[in-house]
Amino acid sequence: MSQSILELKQVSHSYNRVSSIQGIDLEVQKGEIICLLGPSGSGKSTLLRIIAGLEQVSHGCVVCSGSKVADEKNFVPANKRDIGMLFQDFGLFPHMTVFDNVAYGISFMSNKDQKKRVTEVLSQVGMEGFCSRFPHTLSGGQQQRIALARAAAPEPEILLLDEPFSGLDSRLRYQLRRDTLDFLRSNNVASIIVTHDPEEAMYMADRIVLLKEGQVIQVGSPEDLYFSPKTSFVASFFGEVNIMQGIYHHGKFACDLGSLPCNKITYKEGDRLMAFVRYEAFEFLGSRGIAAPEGVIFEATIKDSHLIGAQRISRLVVNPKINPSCPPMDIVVKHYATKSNQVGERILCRLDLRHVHYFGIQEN
Amino acid sequence: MDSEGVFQHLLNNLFFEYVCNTLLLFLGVGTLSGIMGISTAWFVTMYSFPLKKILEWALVLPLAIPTYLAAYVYTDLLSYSGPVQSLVRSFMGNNYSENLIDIKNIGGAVLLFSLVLYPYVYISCRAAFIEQSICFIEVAKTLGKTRIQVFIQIALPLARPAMIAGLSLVLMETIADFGGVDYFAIDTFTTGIYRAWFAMDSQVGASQLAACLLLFVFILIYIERWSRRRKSYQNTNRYCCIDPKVITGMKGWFYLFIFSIPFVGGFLIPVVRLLYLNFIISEGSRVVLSPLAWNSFLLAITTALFAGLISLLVCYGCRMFPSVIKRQAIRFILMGYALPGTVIAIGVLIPFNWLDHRVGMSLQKWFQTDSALIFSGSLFILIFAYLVRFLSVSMGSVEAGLGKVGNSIDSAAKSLGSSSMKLIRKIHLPMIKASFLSAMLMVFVDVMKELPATLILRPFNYDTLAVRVYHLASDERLADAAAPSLLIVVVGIFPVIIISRIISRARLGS
Repeated sequence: MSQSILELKQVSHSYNRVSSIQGIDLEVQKGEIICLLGPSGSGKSTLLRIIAGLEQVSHGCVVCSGSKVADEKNFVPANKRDIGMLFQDFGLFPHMTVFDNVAYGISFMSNKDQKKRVTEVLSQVGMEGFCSRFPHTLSGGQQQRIALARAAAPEPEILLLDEPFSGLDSRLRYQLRRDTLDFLRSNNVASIIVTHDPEEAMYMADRIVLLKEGQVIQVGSPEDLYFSPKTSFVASFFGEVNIMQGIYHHGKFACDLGSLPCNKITYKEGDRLMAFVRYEAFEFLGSRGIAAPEGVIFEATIKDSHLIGAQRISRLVVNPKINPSCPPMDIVVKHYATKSNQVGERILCRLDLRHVHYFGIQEN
Repeated sequence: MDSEGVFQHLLNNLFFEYVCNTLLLFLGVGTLSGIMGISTAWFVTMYSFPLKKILEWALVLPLAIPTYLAAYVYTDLLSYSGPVQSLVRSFMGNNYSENLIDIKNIGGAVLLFSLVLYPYVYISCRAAFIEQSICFIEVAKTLGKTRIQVFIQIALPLARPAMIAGLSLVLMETIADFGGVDYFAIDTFTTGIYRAWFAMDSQVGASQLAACLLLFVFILIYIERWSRRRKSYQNTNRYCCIDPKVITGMKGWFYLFIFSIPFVGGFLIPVVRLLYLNFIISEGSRVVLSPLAWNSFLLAITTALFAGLISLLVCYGCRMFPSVIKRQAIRFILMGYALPGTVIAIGVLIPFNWLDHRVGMSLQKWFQTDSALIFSGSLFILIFAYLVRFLSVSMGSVEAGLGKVGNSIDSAAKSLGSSSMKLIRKIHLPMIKASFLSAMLMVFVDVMKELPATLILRPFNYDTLAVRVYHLASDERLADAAAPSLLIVVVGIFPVIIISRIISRARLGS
């Protein structure tokens, strides 16, 4: 196993005695791309600032390339750490040209080397011809590229990106994600990206660290977090879900959709469970789409249906299977359909069980 | 001497001196107050040290001391018979009889003006450091730069517009000062205008000098406008959590000592000396304060009321029926604050004199009665002059307050069926009440402190606090002047509190 570039051991932090981060462990390898993901207030930005040296730890320690840079007593400030940081608002110096901005962190080099490095890194982000421009003449996407080039110019061991795409419109965001990912891969630099967008995290990351209230909830590959969420929070964070209550009975989960196979997790007989069923777990039979490998088929009535692009979002009314005296329930479904479905139409629906996740009720 | 002769005399013998002295004051006060304002602003923003909260606030207080008061108090303190030299003599033996310290020169004026005017730079630079540069400081840190490098390479260049705005206010006050330079016998334009008018009795000479002074003012205004030209630096306020470096122990106290010098010199020492003079020395031979205070108060409150109402009227007119001409007119009004009191005095005296003569002649002709000087001999002309000078102060505040009332609020109220009058009464007035009151308060205080225009335009035997202080100080009776001086300072502290509250509200990150 290669030596880790960055190691966090039981890192804790508090603002005015209010704890914001509690006992976080993390190791980052060379070239690895980590996403710190979480809702606002989860401490992800604070963690990034601790790694950068802009914030001090109150407990635990930070080890950078084998040397300890922060613990309860010692603190190496940001300017003495080998890190580069891309800020949310980019923070390009408005009184300097693009060249001066990018060269700012490598002023220790000779003029010739500076020029060479700036040209190199600017061409990597596709901004060669912009050396003499001022930041305010650039578009948001261009500013992001320059900021990335500036952070990477000194060739830091670790690159920290704080919500790097949040200020940009969605179309631009896709392109910049791809370009930024290419840039990070080709430089083979360990990167930590803070984001609150699960889609972005899944797109960018080798590993995702999901945070909530200053604690790590789950660490793993995008597949791990999407298909095997450890808690209901993880399941609902990665997409919209229908929540159903039911009872565990002979390896099955009995709920209003019917009796669903539930053999992966061992619960006690008669346990009350919740099933988190993703919107995208459903497929209209007879419509276009890939057939699920396993599934449960049920009948429903369409209450309404809206086209949102390649997919539709529909509300279905299902008659409860367990207790038919209960009123019919609504479920929301994100599905492919070529023709527009009529309101009131009865359809057959297949449920993809890979998108159903069970949790004990007491877990909440 | 005829008026042409007076100007020739001025030009040959005095003009060069006026220009030189004014320029020297400019350079000196600009440099010194700049250094004081910028360094204190940076220190207070970026470091945490003992008593920081108090110092932050205290550094604004010297604004409450008018330049002429600083000149009087320090002359008294450092004179041959003053406490400082007496103390030195008592150490060196009584026979030492040479005057050790002479502050009544350009150097002294530079020092004293800087001590009481630097807060303009401090305030604007501090706001700039907080709002703009902090976002970039963290970037620079992650690129391996130290605090000093950040200051020189990032913070200073970014704060330049604010710096120039603050400095131009300092220089406008410097150029407008009359009491200080007059007391120090430094010949500048303001004293020259006064002397041409009163000593040489030459209206033309005085107005010619005033025109020259105006040139300086216009250059200043131009520089200030020019500095704001590139103000559109984007600044996002997300990364504004300032993380001041904590300095503790002896080092912290040492820094506190160094950076509180401007406050101590610009406020504490003058006030303590005035208190001492008032309560210890002048016991018994007290100036009767009440008529003076009443005169000052009456003038100030009348002007404040008019200024507030006119501002409201003008700003409303512009809001309801906007036009280019009106906007230009407002800009013109806003320039009034840059005009020195002496210039305004001359400027209003000449037309009103003419008007009075006209009225007088007509009365004589038609009714065979003598008229008094209706305009130029009454408080009317004084208040008019005050309005010319201070309307910009109230207008700025009212405009800012009204600017916060968004257009959508008007539209919303109108869509709910509210009439214009109801809109003003129910929506606007409650919303702009605070800025309207603070507008009047600022004018009130400025009028209380005003010296040169009052000196020239007041009716005979109509003394205000500032005028009495001026006369007493000229007669070397500073102990007697202490009480009215203190009153001016106390009143002057109010706007300072308002200003510092505005700054603290603007403090986004901490």
